[in-house]
Amino acid sequence: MKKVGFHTIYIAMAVFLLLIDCFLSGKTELAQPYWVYLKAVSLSVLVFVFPLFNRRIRTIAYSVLKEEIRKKTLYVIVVFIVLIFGMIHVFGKIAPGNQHIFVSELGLSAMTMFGLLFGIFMASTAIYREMEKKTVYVMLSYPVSRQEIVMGKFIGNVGSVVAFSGILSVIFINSLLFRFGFEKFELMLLYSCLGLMMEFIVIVAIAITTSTLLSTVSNFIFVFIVFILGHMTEQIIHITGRVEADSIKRVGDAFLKIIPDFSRFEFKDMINLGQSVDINTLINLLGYALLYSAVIVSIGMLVFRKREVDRL
Amino acid sequence: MENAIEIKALKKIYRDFWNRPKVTAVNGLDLTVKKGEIFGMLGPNGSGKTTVLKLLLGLIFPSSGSIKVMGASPENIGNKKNIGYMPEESYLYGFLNADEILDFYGKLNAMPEKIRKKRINEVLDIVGLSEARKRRVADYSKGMSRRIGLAQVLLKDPDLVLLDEPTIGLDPIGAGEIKNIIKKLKDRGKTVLLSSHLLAEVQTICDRIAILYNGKLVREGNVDDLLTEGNKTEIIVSGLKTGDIDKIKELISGSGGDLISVDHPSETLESLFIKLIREKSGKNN
Repeated sequence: MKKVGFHTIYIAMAVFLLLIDCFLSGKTELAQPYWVYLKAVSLSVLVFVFPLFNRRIRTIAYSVLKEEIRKKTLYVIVVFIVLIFGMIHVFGKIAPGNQHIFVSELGLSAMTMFGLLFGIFMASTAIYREMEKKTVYVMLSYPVSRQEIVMGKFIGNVGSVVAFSGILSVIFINSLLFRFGFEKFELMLLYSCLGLMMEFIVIVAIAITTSTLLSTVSNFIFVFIVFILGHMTEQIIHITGRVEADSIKRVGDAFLKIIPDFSRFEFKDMINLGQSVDINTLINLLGYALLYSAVIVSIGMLVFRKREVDRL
Repeated sequence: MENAIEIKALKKIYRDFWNRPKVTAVNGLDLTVKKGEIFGMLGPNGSGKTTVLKLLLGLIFPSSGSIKVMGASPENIGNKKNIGYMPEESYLYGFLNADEILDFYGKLNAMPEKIRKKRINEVLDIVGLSEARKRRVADYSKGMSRRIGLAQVLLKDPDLVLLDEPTIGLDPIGAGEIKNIIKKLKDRGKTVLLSSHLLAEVQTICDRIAILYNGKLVREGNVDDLLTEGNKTEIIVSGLKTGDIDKIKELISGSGGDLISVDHPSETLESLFIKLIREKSGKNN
């Protein structure tokens, strides 16, 4: 009997969870709140735990982490530290009263920019560069499936981007605590950092999948466009709401279903307005990010399965 | 004897974006490599040698025809434990050192840690990189990169070894060492398929060869059979006097033979180079 591969189980689980989510999405009955928790837990297991049981995926992911550590990532972190302290110093003086809100907002924007560039640069080259440098030739002469390569790269890149944004978050929050003290600290700041991390996971998933097809530059541009469109979902809803033609509305709706809703991950405006989110919203967001990533990476695995690696 | 590689009516057509045929890299190739032999694939640049290797590894897929490598399809993942591949250039991760790179491939090949560590030491010794094992591969010379490329093949200890231009970028000493390693692989019952356009290299180590041109098989067979000219005879004698040579010439013309040349054999530049370098370095073998 033929052994069921790791990727078959992964893809089947991702599709299964997507179908359940689609089925329950319009419903507000009792099942919905439980599903939010179940979705987040099961997807965390599927995305982070299940692949790590595979030794080859672990090996590839670890080598990605090692590569990122040996790159000049440290310099980027130093630039971020200088930027944060510079902002606190300059804007702390010119916005009396609301300095902490002003600096928090700017700091989160800086984190978004740094994390985004780090994530896109790293992930958009992940598979394509393996083909370009032909390192994938040797790797594929080993008992490793193409799907395991995609998954290993994804896990390694997610690990790198989470570690990177985690370090930035610690620097950012600590510098705010140092400057403004505990009394000005809001939990929303921590939630905002977590929201950004989830956003970066989705970006990495998209960049990895498209790097099985697109060159580094095209991929970078593509992911950046998706990032911008993902932040414009509210505007797109607004525009499609005003259009009368049904066909255009349908296209708009389909587009909104495909494009990730990145605006959900950012709480900068809420901090500004003094609003807060509850933990359930955050868990729901985690479920959304992981489901989106799992489905997108599944597509990447299917695409790379039949990719001729010498054709760039 | 069983076959290590069986290729039947293999065709590989590269297509453009609109799926129109662009290049026919391999065109109706039939090839068999027996287990335990050193098989050379010869041909000029663009003859399809590297494409055949890529097809054997499952890096690309055939347009038509069939391939069996060690009795299975190239897409069979488990079978790859038995196959080693050294590409034309050593495509390895520059940010890792030799130890780490071999550890990485050893893990991918499911080698237990104890065996992996032992084998890494052994193969680094064989390819002469023990002292440079902690240096980043990106800082290696071309020759060293080729050696580490060969080391990752030896680490697996596969039954079938695919080598793409194995001695390119190596000095004659290094090339000689690689040839010795290939011969030792054969002595241990391994099958070697090497692709090269260096004819002398193929002639000295291969049992059988195939000559490819424009993706087609031009000639296949035993090296000795293909190269021996049965109607000519070569006699090598030492200590002969000038008068004796004239007598031999007369004897040949008297017996109806056609004397083509009488010459003093000369050493090849490669063997002279190796001999001199070895004398200087104090190595005899």
